[in-house]
Amino acid sequence: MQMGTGSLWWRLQRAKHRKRRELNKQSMEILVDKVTLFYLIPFLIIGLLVVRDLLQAHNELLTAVVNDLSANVIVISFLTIQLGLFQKKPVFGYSSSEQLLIHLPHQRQVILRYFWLLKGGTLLIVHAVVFALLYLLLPLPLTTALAFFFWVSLFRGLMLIIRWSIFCWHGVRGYIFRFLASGAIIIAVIALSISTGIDRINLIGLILLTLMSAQVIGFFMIEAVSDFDRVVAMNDHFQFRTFFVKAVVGKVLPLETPKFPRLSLRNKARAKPAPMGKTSRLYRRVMWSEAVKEQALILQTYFSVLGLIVFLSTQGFIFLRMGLVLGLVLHARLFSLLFRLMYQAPLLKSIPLRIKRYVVPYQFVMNLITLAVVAVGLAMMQLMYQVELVDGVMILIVAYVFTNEWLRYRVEESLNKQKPLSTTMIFSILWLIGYIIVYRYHTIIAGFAGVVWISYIWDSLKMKRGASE
Amino acid sequence: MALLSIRDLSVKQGETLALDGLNLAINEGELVALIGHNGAGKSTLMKTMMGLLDFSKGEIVLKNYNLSEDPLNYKRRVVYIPEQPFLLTELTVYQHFQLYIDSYQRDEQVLTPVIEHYLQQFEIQDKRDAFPLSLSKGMRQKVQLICGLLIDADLLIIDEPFIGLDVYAQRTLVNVLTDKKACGQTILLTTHQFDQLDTIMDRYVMLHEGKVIEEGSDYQLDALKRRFD
Repeated sequence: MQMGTGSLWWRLQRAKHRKRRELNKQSMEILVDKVTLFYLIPFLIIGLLVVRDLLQAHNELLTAVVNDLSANVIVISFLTIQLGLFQKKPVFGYSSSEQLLIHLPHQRQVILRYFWLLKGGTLLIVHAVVFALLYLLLPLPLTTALAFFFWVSLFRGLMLIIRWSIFCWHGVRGYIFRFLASGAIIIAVIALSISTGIDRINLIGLILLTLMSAQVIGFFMIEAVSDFDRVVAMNDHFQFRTFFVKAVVGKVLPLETPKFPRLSLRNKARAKPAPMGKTSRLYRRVMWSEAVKEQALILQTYFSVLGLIVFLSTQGFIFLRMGLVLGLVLHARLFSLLFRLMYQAPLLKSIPLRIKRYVVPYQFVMNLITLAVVAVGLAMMQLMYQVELVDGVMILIVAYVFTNEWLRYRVEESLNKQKPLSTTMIFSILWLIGYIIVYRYHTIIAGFAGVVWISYIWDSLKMKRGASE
Repeated sequence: MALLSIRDLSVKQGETLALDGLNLAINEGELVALIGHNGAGKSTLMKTMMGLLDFSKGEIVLKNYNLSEDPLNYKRRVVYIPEQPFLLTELTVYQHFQLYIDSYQRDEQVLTPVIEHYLQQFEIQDKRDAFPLSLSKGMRQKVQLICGLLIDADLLIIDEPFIGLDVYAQRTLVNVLTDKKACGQTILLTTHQFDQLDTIMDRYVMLHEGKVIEEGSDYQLDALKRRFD
């Protein structure tokens, strides 16, 4: 008896799920022993209770924030569109096992339809749980929580096919499309933030209509817009690399993600490489390749930063300053992460890399972007709150110094073989103190200066630097 | 005094103890072959010696430079050729040589004729501007070999050097290793092909379940081969 496409597909998903669960279980057994787990759970519960108490202590502030945000619920919902827009994993888990079904009498279109339903259903369940938790933890009115749930689910649901298509775009065409898509999102977010009343409703209607049309057209043209080789390779690579598996295996065996030619213009340029006058070009090339490989992560982070700054600038001056601080933290963390990813290449780990020459051009690029990020924030400040020019320049300088320090610390720490957890934790706590200073005194300069000062003191107290030259 | 001293080295991979309190000393100018069954810990030892894997206990010291305390100075004195070439996809063959020359602080002008010599010996002289993705597995292996052979470091570590090479390249490599040894280079390698090393090997070290279980000199190799057969 021939099995229907649906039941065969469902069996495959269940088998995959079983395997993932088994792998997670094995990984958990390696990661956490039962005795630790026994002690960990009460600590987690106590931690949650402490967080709840802390939130209740600031109930008034939270209520004020929620009331302010509820007016902009749709803007926030729209911001969630870009979450996961540029990601490494395809939206649907179409892997080589599903590809095999195509060689049997089963249609790909039908299989993709099932995936669409599964993903949509999962989204609804996840959102329901998240918003239920938020409703229980935060002083959110029921109508606001429901509105968040509705809009976020609607927008993210409408983005399923679009996100799938964006994942499939690569080469120069993909680069241009991604650029256009990102531009459209920025414009939409800015327009939504500054428009009021009937304009905002019209704008949202237009966006919804566009997304719906894109969803419907994309769904019927899914075969045409898909690059199944890329989708299958990526899903095969990622489908059993769960969070816990990576935590166990990642340290022992850093697996390379499948590589695809991303920018065909660059590939053509590779055919005849320019002669290497200076070896520093080698480092630049390695850095550039890492940036291209991680472009999804970079774009996503900067969208978040930009969206955050733009949105918070509409909420008030203090919110904008908080947004700038958070933006800089995200930016610095991204750069230290990228540097560490770069250094994960076994070849670079096995040779005595002249690290200073590696860090200097990297810092140069990072600082340029830092200045751009801060400049956007300052432009918003100037535009909306008429900040003194001197204050703006001060902020720019301090931000520049601070991110430099952060990167130097993180990079050198990552290259040092001895990386005690306590060091990282103490630095994070110091950062938190700096952040509190910013919040408490409403003066971004004081906060940054405090953090830089603490980091200098910390540096001087730190023992030898290990691998740095 | 030994050039390289490994004392009480333990490496954990998950719950498995891949190296279990391993001790090893290599003298200057020696060619030592690490042998053992699959999973004995040969490659793990080499990767640990290069800082690619963390170790839970013990120390690795080369000429007073401790890998844990002074990794940069340690690595400047060791060059490693892995079993699976790990070339960077963004660099051409020649740029890999430049990266090695730059990292080990050697003079490119002095080494340019050496590069040409090796490119010719391994018959890849027309591939100097090619990217690794366009090369066959054997060619990539040759590029990785040249990267390592170029640098006259105190210790040359080679993991399974003959795998993936054609017969001519294997012969070339044996000749190069013979020359290097004659010049006093210290070499540590793993192999299952003892025949290739008959004439140049000084000593073998046999690993089993992460421990050294036997050591012997070249004249004991025949007996060893018979045991393996």
